[in-house]
Amino acid sequence: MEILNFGRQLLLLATGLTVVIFLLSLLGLCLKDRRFVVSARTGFYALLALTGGSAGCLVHGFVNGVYDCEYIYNYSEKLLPTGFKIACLWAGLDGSLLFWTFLVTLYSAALAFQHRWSSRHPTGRRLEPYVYLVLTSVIFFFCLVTYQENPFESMTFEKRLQLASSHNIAMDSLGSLTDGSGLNQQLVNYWFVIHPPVLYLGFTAWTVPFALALAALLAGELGDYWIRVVRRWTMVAWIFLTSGIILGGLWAYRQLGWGGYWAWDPVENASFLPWCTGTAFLHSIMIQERRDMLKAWNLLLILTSFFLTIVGTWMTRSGVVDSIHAFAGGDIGTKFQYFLFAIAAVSLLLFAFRLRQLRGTSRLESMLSRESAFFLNNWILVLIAAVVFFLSFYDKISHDYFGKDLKNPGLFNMLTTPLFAMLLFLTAVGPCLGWVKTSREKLRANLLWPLAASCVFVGLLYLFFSLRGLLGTWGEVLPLSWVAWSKLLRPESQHPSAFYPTGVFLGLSFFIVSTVTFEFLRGMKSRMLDRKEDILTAFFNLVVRQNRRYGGYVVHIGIAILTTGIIASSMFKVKEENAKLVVGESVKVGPYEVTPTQKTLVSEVRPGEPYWRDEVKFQVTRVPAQALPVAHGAEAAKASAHREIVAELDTERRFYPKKQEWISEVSIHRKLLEDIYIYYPMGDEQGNIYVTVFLNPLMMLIYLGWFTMIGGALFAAIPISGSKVGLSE
Amino acid sequence: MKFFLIAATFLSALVALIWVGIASAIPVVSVAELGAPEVVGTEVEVKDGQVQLIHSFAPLVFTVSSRNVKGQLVVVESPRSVPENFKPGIDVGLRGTFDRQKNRFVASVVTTKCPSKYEASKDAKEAGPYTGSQQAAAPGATQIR
Repeated sequence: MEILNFGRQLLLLATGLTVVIFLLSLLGLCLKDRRFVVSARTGFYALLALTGGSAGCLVHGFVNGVYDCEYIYNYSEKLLPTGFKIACLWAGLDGSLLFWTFLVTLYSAALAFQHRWSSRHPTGRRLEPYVYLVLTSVIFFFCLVTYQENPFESMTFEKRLQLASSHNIAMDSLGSLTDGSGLNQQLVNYWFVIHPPVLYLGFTAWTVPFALALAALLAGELGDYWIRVVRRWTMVAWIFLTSGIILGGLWAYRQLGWGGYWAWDPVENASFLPWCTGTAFLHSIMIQERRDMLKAWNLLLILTSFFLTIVGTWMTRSGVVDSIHAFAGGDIGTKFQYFLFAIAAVSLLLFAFRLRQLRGTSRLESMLSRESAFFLNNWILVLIAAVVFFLSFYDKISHDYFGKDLKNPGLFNMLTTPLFAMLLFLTAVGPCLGWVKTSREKLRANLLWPLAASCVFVGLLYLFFSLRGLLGTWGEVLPLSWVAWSKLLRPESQHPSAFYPTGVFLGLSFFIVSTVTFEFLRGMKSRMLDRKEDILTAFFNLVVRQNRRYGGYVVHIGIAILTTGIIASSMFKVKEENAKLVVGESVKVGPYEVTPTQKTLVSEVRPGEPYWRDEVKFQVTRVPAQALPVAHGAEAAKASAHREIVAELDTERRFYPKKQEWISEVSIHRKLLEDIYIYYPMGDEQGNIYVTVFLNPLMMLIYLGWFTMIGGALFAAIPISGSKVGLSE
Repeated sequence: MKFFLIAATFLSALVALIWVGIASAIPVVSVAELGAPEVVGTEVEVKDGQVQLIHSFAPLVFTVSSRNVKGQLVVVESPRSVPENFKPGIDVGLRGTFDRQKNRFVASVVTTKCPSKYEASKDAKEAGPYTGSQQAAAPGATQIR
């Protein structure tokens, strides 16, 4: 326990140090003495060491099994693999707050380190103490909350004795518990090690843009310096947040057995809200850089993004919204409410105070300009965020303010789908528009070929649907009646081949790819003609010299790929739910036959596997017959003349003796064109196996889209072109 | 001016959609209200269901009672998969329609609560009624070595 007490002392020291850094920054500011500010800068490195040490102590406790600590007891056990024991740091509320605090200090130390260069710039030097004032205020809050929640808390001997007795856990000669109650079984999955840190890195990174924005407001330094520094930090936050959201979806897909990856749950919405405003900012910042417009709007977006990260934290930790996830109660939500109020009050007051300085020098001159496309894109993204925010609290609002208990789970898709379609349209059209004003002739020339190619693509797509027997009737594809029009409001209930959403979204995705491709070709052609470069040199010079622009286009291609994957996997999903089988019996799903071949029960726990296993091996064979409908038992057996074994899949149900809970682990056979997804949730004493099988087409595109988006964003963030903003200038 | 017109159109469309959404909302009822005449035949969401007895897995048929008000039992039938960790005593979310003829609730959605990492109940804070019969690591009663 000594190491844990030490960890708590380190956290206390860190809390004290934030106060010292705050005072040093204040003194540096008031006395105009840079030595205080430089000392404050060094203080952030010490702060990182302290919070890192504190988190390290807790991890040490997990790895070495200090189960007298309440947090370690609750979230760990002896048999867990070491990787999971380390990840247990973020398994519960208290530890996740400590981890959050550590990450905020990590980013703060990185920003302080950056100031070794950026303080050479007069504006950077003036902003530095203000930045530290904001950072320390945020860190102080998290240190204090973590200290109060206390992940290091040890249990009294009486409590340990009671637990040992009631949970049958051995105690050693010193009266210490020798085992814990075990990690939540849903979290014993490799995604638990990967997803939360990535998402937290995304959330906490917003502290830096917020600190820079608030510092700019405090100092009145509202020129273009801070906004250029903040862009790269926003890219960092965006990359991690995007990855966190997508990885979370893939975790849900892998773990929860419903064959999907997104359900508009408050936990998901909490991460999606700052993503919307952050994405809006990354677009509108270009208007400010190019045209000196939207200064106030950009500031608001940054402040709102940080505010929304804290709103998300509050939503998932206060129990204020009803969710399929069980949330914590207690008074932690109240503390976050006060913090939110403080952020909003300070931000709005300063914003109002500096509003006059935030007027731009240019005005929007034409609707046919890139600025207007970005401006509309901002509006749509903010509207999506507003809609998602409102709908996340829909049940609560209807109950608390209108005295009615109402739900409308389809409302998310109903409202956001048309907004997403408009967003994709703007993403496609954006590259065809020039800054300030685009002539109709130029726009027509830029759009003609991509638009024609997209129309041909949609035609070919429907020909493909027709050839593969996927095409619905005219009434199912097009809204030809009033009833069909009203069905448009429920995109998820439409026929898979319906023009909205399938045709519209796949067509728009192709439209994005084609406009970006033509943009690349135009740029290359121009270089080849003007500078006499060969094709490869022209391509290389084009993308390297304007990496921000072309990296952004690659992100757009990633979005198009992701959209295609989402539409294909959600609209063309084939499923057979809850089939009852015995070993040797088959169920036919799409062109496949799924047969359980072996069922084994392993009723012992092993090191690294703290669970029993009820394993079922499935053989998936392809049946050449064209018949798509689902068939059972003997009927299915007849249909198989020439079978080709496609996959052998092992699914299992795990029983966690300590938690007395069963949990299913799905098995997925990933192919380029579709996933074969088997979920085995239940077996009975008669040997019956209840199984659900999904065929999810083009799931691979979701991975590919994510890689493309992140690759493009990383390329755009590399400082190889333009000015080395915020560094030595 | 053009921008304001577009923004106004945009917002009007959104407000209309929100209105349609609110108008088409599903009422949330308790298990005790399921037999009420205004609920029969209407799609509803049940907020306080707790599984009491499982009759069969395929099709999924089980009995629920109210988590808060004990007494009324309702039979639920669903064509869906058995949800994760489905067992007597677990809280379930249900969406569907009460069929008066069958005298049972036909659920199109059955969900069990996902035990999140932020769940409030902590073993150490409220040592539960765990029997320890399947405890592999430390069989037998409390040992103090």
